[in-house]
Amino acid sequence: MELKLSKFKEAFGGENKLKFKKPIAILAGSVVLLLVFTVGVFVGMEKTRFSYRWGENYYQNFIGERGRRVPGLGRGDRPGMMPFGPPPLDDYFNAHGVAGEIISVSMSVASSTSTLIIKDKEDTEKNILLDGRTIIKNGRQDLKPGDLKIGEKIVVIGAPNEQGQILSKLIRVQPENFFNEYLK
Amino acid sequence: MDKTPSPDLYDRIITKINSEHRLLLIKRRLMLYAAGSAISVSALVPLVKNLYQELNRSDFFEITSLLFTDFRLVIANLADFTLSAIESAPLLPITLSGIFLVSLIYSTSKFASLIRSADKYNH
Repeated sequence: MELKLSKFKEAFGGENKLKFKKPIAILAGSVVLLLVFTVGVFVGMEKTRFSYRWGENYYQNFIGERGRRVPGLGRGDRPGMMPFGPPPLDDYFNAHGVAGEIISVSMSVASSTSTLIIKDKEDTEKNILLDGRTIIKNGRQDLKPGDLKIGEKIVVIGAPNEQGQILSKLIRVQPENFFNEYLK
Repeated sequence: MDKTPSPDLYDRIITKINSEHRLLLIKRRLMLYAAGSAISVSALVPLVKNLYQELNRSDFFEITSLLFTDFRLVIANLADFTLSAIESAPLLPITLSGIFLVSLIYSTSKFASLIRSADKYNH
């Protein structure tokens, strides 16, 4: 080990240090740039894919399979909501997390899953799927899906699925005053 | 009476010319870095204001607040949390503010070191 270290010092230390400084800096810079670019492409792809699936499944997720309307959604029931179908996308949606107000809670006993529809800061609906592994927190308390109420402000962390929903892993109910400043 | 110049006169003149030349260069650079600092500050003010507005508009504050309330759960879902934070971060305002902040720090530090050099040549 000592020998290897001294060989390394011999090769890259002393006068050679200056000789290698520039190429190493360029190499390190290139690696960082490549990393940032790769992360950017990946995140962009995730957002685009999620936004596409959100639009594709809009009627099924928010209007209902048999034309059943989710109260407060679509057809211009709420200010900012589009009167007909999905709103045009100005930007792509975040696929792994969202913060907003619960506007609908539905429980499925058969599949032991629950679905939340939340309204985010841009008045866009997001469909949040809860399964048995979803952790719901309010202060220090652990909640069950049935404890969530319409009008509560939540932050969701999860992963997007094929149906344009976010499969939630962590839901944090935010105190009322936390959002008052930001979410209006 | 015949007066002969001191033997080091030539050297002193050349040294003086060189130091004046360097001082002139330093003054030019000082102006350049002062302008750079001023431009950076004037660009940073609206950029930081815009960054704050964009951060408020996005979910970034809410998502990152989970770090303080649910640290262990965030660590357990680190990949999703990281992606969520990156997705919600207003990257363009952050990048622009970062560029001008680095430019301000660079210009200011160069300005300070040039001031020290100018002091040396003035004496």
